[in-house]
Amino acid sequence: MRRLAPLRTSTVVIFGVLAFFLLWWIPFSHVLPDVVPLRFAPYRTLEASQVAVWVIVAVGLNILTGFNGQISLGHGAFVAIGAYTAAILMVDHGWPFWTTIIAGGVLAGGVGFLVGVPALRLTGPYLAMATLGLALATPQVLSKYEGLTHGNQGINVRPEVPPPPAFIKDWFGLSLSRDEWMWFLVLSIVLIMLVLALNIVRSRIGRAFVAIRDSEIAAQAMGISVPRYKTMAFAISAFYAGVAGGTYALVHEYIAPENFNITMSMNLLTTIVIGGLASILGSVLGAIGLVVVPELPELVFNRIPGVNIPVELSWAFYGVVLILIMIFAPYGLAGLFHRSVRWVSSWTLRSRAGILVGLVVGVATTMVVGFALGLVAFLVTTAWVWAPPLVGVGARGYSRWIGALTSPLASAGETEAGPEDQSSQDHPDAER
Amino acid sequence: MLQVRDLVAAYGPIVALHGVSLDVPEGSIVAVLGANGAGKSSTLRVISGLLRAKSGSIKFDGQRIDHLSTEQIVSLGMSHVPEGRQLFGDLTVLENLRLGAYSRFGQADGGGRLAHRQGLSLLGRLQHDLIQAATGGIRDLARAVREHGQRRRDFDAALKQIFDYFPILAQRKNQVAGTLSGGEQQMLAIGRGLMARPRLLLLDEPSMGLAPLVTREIFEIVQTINRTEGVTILVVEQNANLALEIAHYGYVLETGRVALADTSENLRKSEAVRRSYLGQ
Amino acid sequence: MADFWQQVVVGLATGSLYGLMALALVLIYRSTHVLNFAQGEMAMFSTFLAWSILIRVDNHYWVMFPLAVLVAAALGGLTERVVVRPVEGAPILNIVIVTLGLYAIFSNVASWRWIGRPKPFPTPPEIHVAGLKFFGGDALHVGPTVINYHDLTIMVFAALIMVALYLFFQYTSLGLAMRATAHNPVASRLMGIRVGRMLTIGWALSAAVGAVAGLLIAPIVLLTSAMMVGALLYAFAAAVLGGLDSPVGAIVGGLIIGVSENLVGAYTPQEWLGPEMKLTVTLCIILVVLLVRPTGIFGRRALRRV
Repeated sequence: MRRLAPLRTSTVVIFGVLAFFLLWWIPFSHVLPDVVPLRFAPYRTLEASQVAVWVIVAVGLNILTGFNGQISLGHGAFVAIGAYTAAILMVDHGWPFWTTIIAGGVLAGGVGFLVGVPALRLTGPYLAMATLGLALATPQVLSKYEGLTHGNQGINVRPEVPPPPAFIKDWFGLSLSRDEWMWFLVLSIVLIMLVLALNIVRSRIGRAFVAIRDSEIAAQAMGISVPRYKTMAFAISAFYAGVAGGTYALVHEYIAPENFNITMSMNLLTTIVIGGLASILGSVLGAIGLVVVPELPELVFNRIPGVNIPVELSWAFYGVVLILIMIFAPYGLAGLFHRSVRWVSSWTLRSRAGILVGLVVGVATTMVVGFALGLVAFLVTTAWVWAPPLVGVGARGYSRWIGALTSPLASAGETEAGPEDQSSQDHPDAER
Repeated sequence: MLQVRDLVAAYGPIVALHGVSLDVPEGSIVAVLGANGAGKSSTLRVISGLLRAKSGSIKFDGQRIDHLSTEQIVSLGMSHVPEGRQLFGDLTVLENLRLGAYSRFGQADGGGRLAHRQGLSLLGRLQHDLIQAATGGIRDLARAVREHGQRRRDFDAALKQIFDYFPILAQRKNQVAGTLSGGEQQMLAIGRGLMARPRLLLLDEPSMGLAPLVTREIFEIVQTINRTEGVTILVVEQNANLALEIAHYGYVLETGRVALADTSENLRKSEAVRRSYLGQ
Repeated sequence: MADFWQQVVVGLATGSLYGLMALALVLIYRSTHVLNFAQGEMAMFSTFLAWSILIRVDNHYWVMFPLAVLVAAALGGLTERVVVRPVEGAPILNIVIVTLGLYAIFSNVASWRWIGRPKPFPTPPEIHVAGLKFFGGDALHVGPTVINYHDLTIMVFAALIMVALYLFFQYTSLGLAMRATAHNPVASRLMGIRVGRMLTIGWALSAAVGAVAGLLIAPIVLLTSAMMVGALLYAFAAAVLGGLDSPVGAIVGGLIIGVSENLVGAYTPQEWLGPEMKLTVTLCIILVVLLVRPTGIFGRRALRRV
C-alpha cells in the first residue's frame, strides 16, 4: 500500500486536473458567474496556455536529465526547431496546424538524436557546456539565415484552427473565445504528452534510462545497450521539446529568434530541479511554480497598503525562493508532495484492519488531493483575475524574466545593453 | 589514554555499533580483530569523528572528544590512517607528508581555545566565534611568521624521521603518490599520519591488498615506532595472527559488539579465537 | 599581415578577460565541482561596489582597487558561508540552481540599487613607481601593430594573477591544503584541515579574481547590471575548453577563444558566416575539441569508480 501512493501521484494530477476542469466549466459557470469571476481574463488564459507549453518541455527535459542523468542546457534549441518548423510549414506552406506540431516534434527528435550521438562521449559539466553552446548559437543561427527563418523580424503565425465543436455550445451553453478554445486544445496536447511520458517512464525503456543514470557500468553488465538508450533519451526529450515548440508558435502567434535564447534553457533546467528531478509530477509543479513565484510579491505583498515592492526586488525574491527550496526541499516540490503523501498514508494505513478503510480513504484522498492540486494550481492562476489588470503586466511571468536577460544574451557580449533597454525586450504579445 | 564506553553508531537506519567499549593504555599497541562488517572500521571512524556516535562516550587524555569535529580531534594529537589509505593521489609524496604536518601548524592551540569555548554560554560562544572568524586568520598568519624558523626545523626533523623509517619514500619524494606501489602507498599513509607527531595513531587495516612479506615489514616498522617513539597505537586488522604478534591487548568484535577482550597472549591461546580467526 | 596581428592582439586582450573569469570559475569548480552561474553577476556586483567606493575616496583609483578586491572577496566568502554551505553535498544540479538563484538576486538587486544610465568606469590611471611609469599613456606600437594601453593592462593583470595563484597553490601550506581539499575532502579532514574554511577561502579567492575582471571590463562596456553576462558565457566556454580543473587551462582556453573569435569575425565569408556568427563558429570549434578530449585540453581524465 505504501508504495502505491507515490507511484500514483502523477496519475492523480492528471485526473485531478481533468476532474477539476469538468467540474469547473460545467456546473459552476452557470451557477456562480456573478459571484466569482470564473472566466479567465483573456491574457490569463494566454498565460495558462504558456504554462502548459512549459509543462511539455519540462517533462521532456526531465526524461533526459532526471531519468537518464544527462544534463542539457540547450533545450531551448529544440523548442526553437519545433516552433520554427511548425511556423514555417503553417505560414509558408499552409499545412494544417496539428500536422505541423507533429512535424516539429519529429524534426526536433531527429536533431536530438544527432546531438545525442556526440553527447555519448561527454559527461557532467562538459555535456552541459556543449548543450549550452547549442542554446547560445540558436538565436544567432535563426537571425542569420533569413531566407528560411524570416530573420530578426520573426514569423507571424495565424493558424486556422477549427472552431470549437458545436456540442460545447449546445450542451453547456458556453461560447468560447479563441484564447479559451486554444487553452482547451493545448490542455489536450499536454494530457496526451503526459500520458505518453508516464508510459515511457514506467516501461522497460524508462527502467533502462534510470539504470544507466545510476550506473552505466552496472546497466551495461545487465545487457542494456548504453549508447542506444542514451541517444534514445535525447531523441525522446527533443521530440517533447519540438512538440512544445509547435504549440508555442500556436499559442504565441509570433516567434522571433530572441524567444529561444539561453534564458529559456536555463529556466527549463530550473523548472525541473525546482519541481523535482525524475518526476513527471515535478515538471508540472515546477512549471507552475516558475510562473507564480515571481508574481507573488505583486499579488500578495503589494496588496498591503503602503507596501510597494519594485519589480527588481520581486525577481530577487524569486532567487531567494529558489535557494530556499533547494535548501529545504532538495527533491523539489514533488519530493515535498511525496513526503507528505507518504506521511499521511503511513498514518492511515498503519493497522492491518484498516486496509479496507485505507483503500477507501486512499482512493478518496487520491481524488481529493488530485482535485485540490488542480484547484490550487488553477486558483492561483485565477487569483490573477482579482488583481486589477495592471498595464503591461500580462505574460510577465515569462517576459520579465526573459526580458531581464535577453538583450545582452542575444548578442552575447558584442554590444552590452543598458538596463533601460531591457523592458523593451518583453514579449511582443505581452500587452495583447 | 583512550577510553571508549558503550559506543552506538549507525549509518542511517543500519546500526553498525551496538555499544562498543574499549581501553587503550598509554604506550601500548591494541589490536581490534573481527570479520568483515563487524564494526572495526566504524569504531575508528567514530573515534576520529568522521562518524557521529548516537550515544556513548569517548575520552582522550581524560577529555571528552565525542562532540568534537575531526579537525579538532586531530589537532589534539590523534592521527587516523584510514581504510584504503586515502592518499592525495595527484600530489607528490612530499606534498602528502607536508599535509600530514598541517594540523600542527595550521591552527595551533586548537585544544585550548576549544576548552575555553565550551565554558561559554550560547551568546558567549557566538561572540567567541565571530571574534575568531575576524581575528583568527590574522593571528594564524602572525604566528606563522613569528614561528617560521622553529616550524621549519620541526618539519625537517619529522621528515627525516619518516625517511629513516621508510627510506623508499625519500627516494620517491617528488613522485606523484598515485603512482606508488601498494606497499609504498601504505608506508606513505603511515608516514603522513606520523608527520602530525601524534600520541595516538589509529591504523585501519594496514595489510589491505598487500603481499604477506610487505605486510610483515610494515608491522615490524609499526612495532618499532611504538617502542622507540612511544606512540600509542590502535590497529584494526583482519590478519589476526600478525596483529596479535605485535599487540599488547586485543579486542574481538562481532556484529558491532565486543565479543572478547584480553591480552594478546591469552587471545592467541583462546580456543575460540584460534578456530575463528587464526585458522588453527 | 599587419591586420592579422592586430586581430590577434585584440583577441589576446579580450581572451585574457575571458581567461580571468574562467579562472574564477575554475577556482570554485576545483573545490566544489560546481559551475557557478552567478560568477559574472558577483563580479558585476563587486564592480558596482567598487564604483561606490571610488566616489567616496575622491576618485583615487589605486585606493579603491585593493578595497574593492577585498570587499569582493568578503562577498564571495559570505556567499559560500550563508548560501552554498547549506546545500553542500546535495546533487550537483541543486547547487547549480542555487547559483542561478544567486544570479537572480545579484542581478536584480544591482539594477534596483544602482538604477539609471550605464555608468562610465575609469581605466587604471598611470602610476609612478621609482621613476618608472606604469599604466595609462598612449598606445604601444610594435611594428605596424598597435596595442591599446588598456589591452596591455588587461594582459599584464591576467599574467600577474596567474603567477600569483601558481605560487600560492604550489608553495604555501594554505594553497596546498586547498588543493588537498579539492582532491579528497575526507582525507583532508583527517589531516586536520578545516574543509569548510577552505571552501570559503576558495569562493573568496574566486570572487576576488572575478572582481578584477569586472574592474577591467567595466571601462570597455560601461558599468551596467548586464555587463558580465556575455563575458561569463565566454568564460564558461574557456573553462571547459581548457579543462575545468586546470587554472592554466582556463587562461589558455580564454586566449584561444578570444583570438579565434576575432579571426572568425574578420576572415570568414560575410554572406553565410561573418561577425554575427563568430560565437557559433567558436562554439563549434570547442565542440570538436571536446569530442577529441572530453575533459578539455588540460583537464584530468575522470577516474570512474565502479
